[in-house]
Amino acid sequence: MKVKPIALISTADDPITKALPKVIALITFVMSLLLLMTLSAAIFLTHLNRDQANELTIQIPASSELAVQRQRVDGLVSVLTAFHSVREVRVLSKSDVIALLQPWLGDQETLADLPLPSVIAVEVSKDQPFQTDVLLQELRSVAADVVLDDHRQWYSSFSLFSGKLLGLLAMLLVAASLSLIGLIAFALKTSLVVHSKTVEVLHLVGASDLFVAKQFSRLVWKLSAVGATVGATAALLVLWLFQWWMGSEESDVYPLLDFSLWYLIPLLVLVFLIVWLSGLVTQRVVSGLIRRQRR
Amino acid sequence: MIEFESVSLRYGNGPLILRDASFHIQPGSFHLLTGVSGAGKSSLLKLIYLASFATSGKVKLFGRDVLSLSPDELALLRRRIGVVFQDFQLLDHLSVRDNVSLPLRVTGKYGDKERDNVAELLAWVGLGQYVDHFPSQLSGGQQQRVAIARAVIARPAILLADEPTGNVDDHMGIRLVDLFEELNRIGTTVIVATHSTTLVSEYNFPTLRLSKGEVTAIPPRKGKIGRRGVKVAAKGKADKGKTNEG
Ligand SMILES: Nc1ncnc2c1ncn2[C@@H]1O[C@H](COP(=O)(O)OP(=O)(O)OP(=O)(O)O)[C@@H](O)[C@H]1O
Ligand SMILES: [Mg+2]
Repeated sequence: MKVKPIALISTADDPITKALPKVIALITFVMSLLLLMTLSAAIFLTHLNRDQANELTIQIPASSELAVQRQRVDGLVSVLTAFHSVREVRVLSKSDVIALLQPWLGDQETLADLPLPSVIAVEVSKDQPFQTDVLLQELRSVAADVVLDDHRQWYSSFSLFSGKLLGLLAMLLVAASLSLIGLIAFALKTSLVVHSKTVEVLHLVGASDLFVAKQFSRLVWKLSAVGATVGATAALLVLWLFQWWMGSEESDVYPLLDFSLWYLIPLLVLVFLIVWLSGLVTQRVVSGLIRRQRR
Repeated sequence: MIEFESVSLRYGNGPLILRDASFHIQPGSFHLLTGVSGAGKSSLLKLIYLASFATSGKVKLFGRDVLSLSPDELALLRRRIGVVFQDFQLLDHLSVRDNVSLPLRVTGKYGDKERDNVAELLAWVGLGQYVDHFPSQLSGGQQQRVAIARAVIARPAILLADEPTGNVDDHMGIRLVDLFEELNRIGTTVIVATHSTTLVSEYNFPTLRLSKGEVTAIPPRKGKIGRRGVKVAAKGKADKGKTNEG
């Protein structure tokens, strides 16, 4: 039977033991926040895609004559129903329009007395190509002042923007990883001086460089596991508190963070990657430093 | 087994510690290394346990020029050399048991059997009750015995002991040299560096004398090799010619 390995590197008086868990906790905290925000943005986008990507809205401004307005709406509806690739046409009721306008125009009673624009919601087929320009032209022949609100256009520019945002977040994650590597390398330089006697003795009793390096990486593994877990947990907690603080009324506007696996699994992977990276960097850096010392 | 060919050694720009030293040490031999304090005994041993390298000349171990070895080969060679350091070189944050087990751990072969061997050896050197103590809780002589246990636990082919009896009473000193002789009997090549006149006068061993950077080989006196007046296993016949001056 093999006996369990012990920590051959002393953890007392070591800059690494004291500082590393804190530093790693901080970096993990920042990386977790970035990751969680990226995830909720991505999840928000997918929902948006599913809900709205195939919808258009058609609007015509209010006219003083109700009968004229209704006639124009009927004209638009017949154009729409005739258009290929349109699957469903729905004229919004007065109360729906009021509900839509309310956030911008204030309370319901005033709105009810005003002449209201008409809104038609259109669902287009996902499978067929759809030419917005052609449709718009046909609609204008019925009502020249028609406004076509293409969610898909808005969506595509939004997704371009969010794509750039995701790129930025990814770059920040890479930057955080690089600073983690730099910090570990820096800490190890000091640590190796502190533990020079241990390193020397290990070498004298026949340890290979790899064996010595592994002693350090095992230590760093443990420390970074603690730090990364603390950092990731803190990030979850902070986002959760933030959401709670933002209140429930607005929470359907903001992407919702929940404790579902969509968030927890990537976060666990992040923690695992940070711990693995710390150990690997340690092994490499210590081997390199020992080799350089020997020369 | 250990060959020095015109070896010189100096630290930095300091004086020559070794000057053109040449000698061969045959496998299975037992040598004393003597010289006044500062003569360079520890420095010479360092060249053998590969903690430093000659300024000029050639050091060969097990037939290989030590300068031709890669770091991994150096590590493998060091495992065949047990060293009792003059300043013990124990790790203060490890227990006595863990200190002694180090040479086994670095080879990756440390299991229950080895663990028992460590306990057994510690009991043998009189430290059975101290396995879980830390070096700082031990006397100088006890620490020295820990260092000796660590040096011999992996059954090295070469045992180098730097002043191994300096901190222990006569009785324990005799016991320790007995241990070295025991190991020597089963084939270990032993070199004991000492300025203890007792060791030199009470025992009859071939000697390397270090003086002003020169190494002189002194053959054993006539009679039995080893502790005087005590019978020592038939070693005498093999002793002649074990030391060749270069
Ligand atoms: N690392 C070093 N750097 C510079 N000089 C050293 C170093 N180690 C030893 N010396 C010098 O080399 C000389 C020989 O030292 P060494 O320790 O080999 O002597 P020694 O025979 O073992 O002495 P002792 O019997 O007191 O242990 C001394 O003059 C010492 O000052
Ligand atoms: Mg010395």
